[in-house]
Amino acid sequence: MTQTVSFKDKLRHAFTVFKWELRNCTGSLIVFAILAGVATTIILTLALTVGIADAMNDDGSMDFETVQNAVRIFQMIASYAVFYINAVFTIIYTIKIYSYLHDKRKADMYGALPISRRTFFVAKTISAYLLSIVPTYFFLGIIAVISVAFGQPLVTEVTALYLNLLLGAIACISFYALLAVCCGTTPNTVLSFIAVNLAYPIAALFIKGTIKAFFIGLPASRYNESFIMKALNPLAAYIGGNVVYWILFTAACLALGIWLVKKRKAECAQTSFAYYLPVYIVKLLVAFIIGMFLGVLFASLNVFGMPFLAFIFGFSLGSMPAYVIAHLIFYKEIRSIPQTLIAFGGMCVVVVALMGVCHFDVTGYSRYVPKTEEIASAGFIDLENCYQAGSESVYTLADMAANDFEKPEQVDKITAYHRSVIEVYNQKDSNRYANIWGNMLLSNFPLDWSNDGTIVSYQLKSGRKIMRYYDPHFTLFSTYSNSAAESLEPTELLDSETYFANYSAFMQSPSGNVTDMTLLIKNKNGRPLRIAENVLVGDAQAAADRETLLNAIRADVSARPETERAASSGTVTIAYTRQKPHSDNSLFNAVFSTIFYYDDTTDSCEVYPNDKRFKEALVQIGIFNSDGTYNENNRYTK
Amino acid sequence: MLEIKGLTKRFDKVVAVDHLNLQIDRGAVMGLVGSNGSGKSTLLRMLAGVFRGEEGEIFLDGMPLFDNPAAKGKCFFIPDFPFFYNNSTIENTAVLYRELYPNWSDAAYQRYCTVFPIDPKDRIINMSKGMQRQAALILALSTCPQYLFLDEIFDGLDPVVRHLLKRILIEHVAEHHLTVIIASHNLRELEDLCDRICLMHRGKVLMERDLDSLRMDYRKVQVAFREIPNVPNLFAGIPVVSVWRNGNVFNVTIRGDESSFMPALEALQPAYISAMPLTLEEIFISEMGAAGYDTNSIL
Repeated sequence: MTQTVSFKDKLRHAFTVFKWELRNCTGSLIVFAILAGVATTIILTLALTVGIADAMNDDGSMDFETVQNAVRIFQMIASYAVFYINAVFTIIYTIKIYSYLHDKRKADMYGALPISRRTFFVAKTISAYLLSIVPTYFFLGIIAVISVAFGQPLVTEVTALYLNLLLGAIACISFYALLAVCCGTTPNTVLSFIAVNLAYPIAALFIKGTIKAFFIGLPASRYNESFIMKALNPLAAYIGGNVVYWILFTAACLALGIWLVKKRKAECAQTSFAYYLPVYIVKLLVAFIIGMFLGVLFASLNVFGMPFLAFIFGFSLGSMPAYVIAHLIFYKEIRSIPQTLIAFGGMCVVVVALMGVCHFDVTGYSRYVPKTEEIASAGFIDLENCYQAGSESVYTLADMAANDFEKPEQVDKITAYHRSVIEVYNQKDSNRYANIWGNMLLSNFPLDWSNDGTIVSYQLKSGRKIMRYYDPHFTLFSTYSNSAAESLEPTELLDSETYFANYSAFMQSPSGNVTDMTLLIKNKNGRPLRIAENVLVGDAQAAADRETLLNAIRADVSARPETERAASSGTVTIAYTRQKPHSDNSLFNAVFSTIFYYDDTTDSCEVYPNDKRFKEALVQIGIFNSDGTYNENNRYTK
Repeated sequence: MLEIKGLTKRFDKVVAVDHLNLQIDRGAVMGLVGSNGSGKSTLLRMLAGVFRGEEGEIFLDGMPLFDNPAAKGKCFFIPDFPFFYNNSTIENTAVLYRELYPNWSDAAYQRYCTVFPIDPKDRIINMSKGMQRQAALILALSTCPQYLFLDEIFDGLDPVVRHLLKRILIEHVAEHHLTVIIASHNLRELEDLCDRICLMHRGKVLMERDLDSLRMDYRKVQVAFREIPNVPNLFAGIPVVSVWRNGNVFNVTIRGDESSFMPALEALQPAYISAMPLTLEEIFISEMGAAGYDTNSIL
């Protein structure tokens, strides 16, 4: 006979536990509140002092926009300061809250309470979430109110922080909770948490670097923001992105923790029954990283004159000691190592086999160029001349480009270029292990200069898509780019109307990103006439007029046949802000993007006499009169 | 009633409790005694729900005890070193217990706060060991438990408080049929309080008996001879537990009452003979010696 506890009672018990935790963490919360409050006040004081000094004009008036900018900087720096202070305190609360699983005396007290283990664990976890999130939201809210009071709404980076904080906190706390249930002591739990969080991204980078080095042309940057690169690194949830993955990750950790906590034999065992789970993960990850490090090092130095053999030697030399040392750190003894060697051996076999597949190019990926007769359409993108570069992944761009060109002569130019690139690789790239370092260390570098290289893609008649991305920074492609073979680049495709329509800033930039527009149109005598300039976004009327013009020109370009090239009747130039290249929300990027505007980038479009919509738009916004003559008194001519 | 069936608990290769079976009736006061590492504290922790056994089960009034809040609400466990946070006072710790224990009594809380010489607003962490135990006792008794598990509760308590505690426990047993299980090495105190004794060694129960009958079952007999009889086995036929000789004087521990062994002893024509009941400590040493755990086998 088992008496059950009603859901209402469980809730009441959980709430009691929360109140208890709140009381026990009061000291830490007060310290957090003091630090966050003082930091916010200091930053506001400095920002306003500097901002108001800058805003004062000679005539004693104040430029309120400058003050708003200062508040904007306050908003971001203060929000990030609170965010990082929170991260430190989340660690303190979390370790404290789950120490009941490891501390013998606490276990005696909490284990004997009339509350089920699962309810208690869930209550503790929710307490950890709330203690981490609510006080921080409170301070972020205060910062938001101050900003809005100065007329500065929340900037995107700060609004993203709210979600990032929530995801980061729940993911990290749930992962720690799971490790706490598995491990027997708090130091082991902390060590496992740090080791997994550090080791997983490094291991993922090694895998990505290796794939990029051997599968030449693979658009692997597709995975830069992927959960695969962050899967066991919940600290990355604080950076943002992969919302669904982090929610699922949290749910999985929580579910596993709840399931295991009842099965836990003792609340204070030195080595808990599920300890082997995290320890296996850490040991294998560490052995993999050290093994790959030595293996790739030896192979790239061409030890023995046989890189693959050198890799196997280096991998074995690095991974085995790393595995043994990691085992000793976690178990404090060596007797149980033989039982765990099967997993280690399995990992070694898999790594060596996969590296063999890479080394001998068993799949033929790096050599493959489809035959012309198999190709339905093809595409080519020079990322330096592509508006979407940096904002869209190369994979997405390659996917888009596959249908760009269908004519056989265009397709031939692309395959010829593709073959010439592969030839250069085959001739010069004798030891691809050396490329792993560059690929793994620099491929995630969040700077704009990484957004170049070329994309080649094909839509085959069979329905398959072939996509390749040749990156100039991390491979011998840079050598190729600078060589005479560069002339093989299909430049006429880059000059085509199709390419302009699909990849130019003029055609693709969202109208809200266009900050200025200049119209240079020939008059009846054929002399260029600067008829409008500085059509600024800040002016609502100007923004609407600019959009009208832009839409008209875009419609004309889309309707313009590829072959029709009459004499140009003028040029329209736009200045535009590039979309932010990367979606992470680091403080560096946030402040950098606030201080510097990327509005000096321009793009132009020729206009032709037959561009009917453009002419109508000029009349509509008042630059031309309704009879088609130039309106000298239009609001944009200076 | 508390029933323990085939309970086993291992820590790696160490078997702390080994297929233990025990039945404790309501209103009993049981002393758990045994050698160091015999499994007393582990058993108490399993009764409290801190540990989960690998095998077997514990039933409390017919309900499985492990992870059962309804059953655990009837119990309270005071470990050998009770845990309190740095800022814990009796008053603020009572808030947690008041909400979690269904039988919490504010009247009892007020009463025990006055009975024990301790200020409920003081930080427990700053108190002496004995006062910390008193704090734990105030909280425990305020939950009005039906089952009370105490581990080395007499450690650090002064004689007056020990006496007070024993009085309170006896009062609760008499009035509310409180069941108490006390693990302790302080056999003298157990002797005053317990009506049953469970002797544990290496995770097993060596003996579980009513204390009065246990004491009646053993006699410490001093036998002195002018000349020691020249027989191969002096005490043959007598259920001797242990013998200690000093010249012509023998101190013999004998199982059974006097009527069963006196005729045989008198037949040896001793110069002097006297028999008296054993203390619990003497019974413990005798039984542990019989189990191979005595000073001779240790030293």
